[in-house]
Amino acid sequence: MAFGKSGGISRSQSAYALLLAAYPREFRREYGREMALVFADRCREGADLAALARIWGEALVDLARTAPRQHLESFGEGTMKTLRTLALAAAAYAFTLLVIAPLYVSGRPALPGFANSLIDALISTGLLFNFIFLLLTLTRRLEGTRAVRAAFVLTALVVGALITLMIVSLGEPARINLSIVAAQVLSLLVWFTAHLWWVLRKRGRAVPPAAA
Amino acid sequence: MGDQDPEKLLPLSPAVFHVLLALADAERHGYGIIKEVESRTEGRVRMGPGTLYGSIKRMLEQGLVEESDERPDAELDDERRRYYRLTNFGRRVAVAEAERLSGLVKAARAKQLLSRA
Repeated sequence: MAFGKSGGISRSQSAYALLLAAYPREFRREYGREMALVFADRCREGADLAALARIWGEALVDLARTAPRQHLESFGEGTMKTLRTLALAAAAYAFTLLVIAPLYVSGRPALPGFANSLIDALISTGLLFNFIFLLLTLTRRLEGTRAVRAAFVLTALVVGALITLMIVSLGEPARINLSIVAAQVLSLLVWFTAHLWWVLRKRGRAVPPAAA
Repeated sequence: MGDQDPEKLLPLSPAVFHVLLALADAERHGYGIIKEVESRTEGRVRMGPGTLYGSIKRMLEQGLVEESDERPDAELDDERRRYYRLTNFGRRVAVAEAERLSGLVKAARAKQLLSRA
């Protein structure tokens, strides 16, 4: 071919792959590779430069028409997801503050030492774990199981730092009750497992249903 | 998905109906769908990658199509590509849309906007 067909196609495919940045990240991740393949197939149809120019023209019009629509859809989905997550978090915090906390305060003297520590830990690490998880999810830094793992590590670091601070400020490591540490570790595992279960369950539901 | 009323999705956009028609008789990958539409419409409809995959994304969400696990003949197969096929619900929606369009064509004929075939 006069215009070096294979080189032209390769350059066109690379340029088109760059233009795919106009689409939302999620859409690009799901379909970008195949869109580039389809575009390369289209380019192979072109017998000369004029045909390639026509294919490029069509591709640019297609991109200008569909990329804004995908952003609108993505914005709508993202907003709904954010609102659902916020509503869930608000309900969880309200439940903790309005129901569990008063029950706990009124019944606390009757509870044995470890149960007291465990409820303390479940409430404190729960608030912290949920806050970190919510922050990671809403800012879309991380999602799914990666967000759960990161929230676990960050909460463990904060709790560990607080316990260390207590030991240092008290000056007597022996005064830190072992049941407090055990309760914190158990509580962390409980929140980690609960979040992991929730995320995996949600992922399972997101799989497109098979045809009947 | 099986209990959903096909009428609720009508009218379909031209792109979605073309994709349903392309998948009515065979599983195809993206470029296969584009070529089938082009050949059936004698080159009048040339779908771009953005139009095609935007439609496929919505159709997957609505349960009209699904990704196929089965692969065609190994010689024709391309591992990099995903193949799509109609779901039962997708077929019912395609039939409902075809009947709706057929009704419109009848009305156009009755008003003598179209000659009788």
